[in-house]
Amino acid sequence: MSGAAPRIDTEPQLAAMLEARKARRSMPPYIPQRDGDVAALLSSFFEREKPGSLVADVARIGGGASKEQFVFTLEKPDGTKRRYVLRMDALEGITETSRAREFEILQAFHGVIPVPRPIWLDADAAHFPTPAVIMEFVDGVTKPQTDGVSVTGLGTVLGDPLRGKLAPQYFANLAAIHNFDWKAAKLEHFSAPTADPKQPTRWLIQFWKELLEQDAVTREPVLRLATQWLEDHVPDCENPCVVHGDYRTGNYLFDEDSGQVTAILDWEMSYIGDFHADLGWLLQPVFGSRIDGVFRASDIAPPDEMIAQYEAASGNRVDRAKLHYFTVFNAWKSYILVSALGMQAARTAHNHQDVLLTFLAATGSLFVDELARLLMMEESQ
Amino acid sequence: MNPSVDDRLNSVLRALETVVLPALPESASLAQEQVMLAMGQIQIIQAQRDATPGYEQGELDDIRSMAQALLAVENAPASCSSQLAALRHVLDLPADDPRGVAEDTRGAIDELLVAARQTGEDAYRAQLAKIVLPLGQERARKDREWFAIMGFDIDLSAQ
Repeated sequence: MSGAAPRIDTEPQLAAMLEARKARRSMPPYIPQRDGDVAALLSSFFEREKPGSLVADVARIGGGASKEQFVFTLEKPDGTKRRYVLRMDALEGITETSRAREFEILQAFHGVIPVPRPIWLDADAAHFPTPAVIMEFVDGVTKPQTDGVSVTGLGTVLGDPLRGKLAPQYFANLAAIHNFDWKAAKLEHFSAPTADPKQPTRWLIQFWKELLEQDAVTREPVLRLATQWLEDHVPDCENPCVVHGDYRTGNYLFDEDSGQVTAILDWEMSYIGDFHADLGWLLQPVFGSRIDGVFRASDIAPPDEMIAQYEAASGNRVDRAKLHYFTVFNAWKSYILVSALGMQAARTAHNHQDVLLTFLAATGSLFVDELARLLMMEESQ
Repeated sequence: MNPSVDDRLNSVLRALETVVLPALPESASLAQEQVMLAMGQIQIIQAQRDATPGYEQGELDDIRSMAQALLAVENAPASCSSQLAALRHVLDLPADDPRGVAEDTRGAIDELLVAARQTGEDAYRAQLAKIVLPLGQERARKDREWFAIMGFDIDLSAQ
């Protein structure tokens, strides 16, 4: 016996990432990047990548709760200019993801549905202080100008007529993600969970369980029961597909005048698994609106209508038992994001938005309430 | 007269709102967001400050009620005896640090739930779940009420 701890039963790439993050826990506080420092980093990066190019107009982008993001202009030697976005990791954040996977999945979907085109990758922080990806800037907004201040798109109200324009694209784009031929795409940074029908979701649960174990700042009894229930009831997944992992209003850009979706964003939590996971995520109350007593998921449509429109757009049949499983999973995952990873990152001062993370952590009780409700439904059956 | 906590926090808020925020360049979107979030946090802390000791005591009382109910479950498997003993022990701790003792109690309950699963005795596990889930939900609803002021909870924030 070697005495080595057993590897986590999840995607090998993610298992390695989970091990690597442990070493970051004891690092000193993270100091957010200064615009001037980022400009210098970009200039030296492009001196090598695109000699003769000039970096200008470097500015931080607000919004989001995980990455440091900057927009800048690159002027090439022939005088052409283009805007790009630099996304860099903080030491820790509300998610634990890989820039290499994000780059690869964006590359795979470029030309399939609207996504920002990824151009440069520094997966191992060879040049930038932390892993980074650079992608083309896409025009658009995540919420109408008329909507008030909201954090990371929570509670966004699209309203009419925008809702009617966006809804068909919302379903068509999700259907295109789930029907994408990932086997042909040769995604080197993803592993195919094809050993047995339970492997896709077993891998998923073990990944998030490990994050919870590493980062929990409290040991909430309802969460423990939810973890056990999820492990005990892993459903089969006969046809694994690309799962976006964070598909909802707030995570796509659109042109406010035309109502045209210009980019699907935030692919960092994507993986190969069961499509019901995306549905359970986008149906969560926290991502929806309630107006005159009517709940609309993502402010697009009420849940039953969402499911019917998704089935029509994708050709996939929604299994209500699996949807229930992933409803439990997503309430559990949401709690882990805000109350474990987010709180741990804030406590260790390893993020650039600690004050936002402690704000978001206040949603934790909402997910505990939902988990208790869902598990009691199970108990009564 | 000494300045009160509210006097001091209000002066911080006013400095952030009238001096720091206007001094930030339009391009400093993250800094603007952070200042506004900081102001929001301070205002919420002010609104909750007087009720906070009672809230934290309520958290402790609720988790202790859960622990007592779990200890009262009959026919516990012998393999859970050390976890049950640890749970009894935390109930005897003085409550001079309500948050700390509440966390110790949650930790002891967690150990019991893990051990109960390892026994494979489904009837015992079901009895534990029948206690944890309703009491956990009751507590979560109090916490939702407490944090409704943050504005995230579409079912409570508008009330």
